[in-house]
Amino acid sequence: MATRLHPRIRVVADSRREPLVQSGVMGMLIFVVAESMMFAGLISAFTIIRSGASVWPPPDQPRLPLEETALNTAALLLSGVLLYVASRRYQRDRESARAPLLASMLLGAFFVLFQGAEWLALIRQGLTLTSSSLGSFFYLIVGMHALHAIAALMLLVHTFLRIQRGWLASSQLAAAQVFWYFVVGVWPILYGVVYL
Amino acid sequence: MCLALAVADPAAACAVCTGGQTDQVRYAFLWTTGLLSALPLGLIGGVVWFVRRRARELAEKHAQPAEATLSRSAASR
Repeated sequence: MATRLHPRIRVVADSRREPLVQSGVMGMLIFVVAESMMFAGLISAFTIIRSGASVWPPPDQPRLPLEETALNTAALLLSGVLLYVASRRYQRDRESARAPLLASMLLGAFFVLFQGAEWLALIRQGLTLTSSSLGSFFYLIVGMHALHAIAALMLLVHTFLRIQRGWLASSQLAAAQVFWYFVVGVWPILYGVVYL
Repeated sequence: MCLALAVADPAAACAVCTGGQTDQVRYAFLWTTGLLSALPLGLIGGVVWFVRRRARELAEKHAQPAEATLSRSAASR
C-alpha cells in the first residue's frame, strides 16, 4: 500500500502490519541455533573419546540408570506436548491455556528434580567429574542441558504469571515455546548418545 | 632453518587427532565431521523455511481482505 504524505515522502508499507517474525521469536531462534551447535560440539567430542576407548563404559565406574531416565524422558516429551496444547488453546481462549501450561511446567520441574536426584545417586556411587572421561562428559553434557531446562522453565513460569495477570503478548509465549521445544527436542538425542 | 627442520623429529601435539588410529575412531571422526558440517546448514535452512512459510501465510492473510473488497466493489457496480 503506497500513501502520499509529502512530495518527497512515500509510505510504502503499513506500519500496523504484522511483522514477518516477531523480534522475540527471531532472537530465540538465533539463540537456539547457537546452542544447537554447542551441543553438537559436545556430542562430537564425546563420540570420539568413546570410540577411542578400549572398553566403554569404563569398568570401574557405575552404570547410568537407563530405565529411570527413559521414564524421565517420557515426562519431558509429554511436557512438550502439553505446551503445544496450551499454545493451541491460547489462540482460542486465553484462560483455557493455563491448565496445560501449568501441567507442562510441573512435568518440566519433575524432569529437573529427577535429574538432580539421579546425579546425587551417581556421585554417591563414585561417578564424579574427575573419576573418568565418562563422568566428565556426563556431567558436562547433561549439566548443560539441565541449565537450559532450568532457564526455559523460568521463562515458562514468567509466561504463566503473565497469563495470570492477563497481559501476555503472543510473541512472549511463542519465544518460550521455541526455547522449551529445543530443551525437549535435544534431550532424546543426548539420552541416545550418552546413556545408550 | 632448513637444517633444523630436517633434523627435528615430528611432534604430534593433539592427543585427540593423533591418539587413536583405529577404524572405529576414524569412523567417529567421519560422522562427527559430517554432523558438524551439515547441522549449521540444516539449522539455517530450517529458519529460512520457517520465515518463508510465515511470509506466505501473511501474504495470503493480507490478500484475502483486498480480494474481498475488490469483488464487493465490482458487484456494486
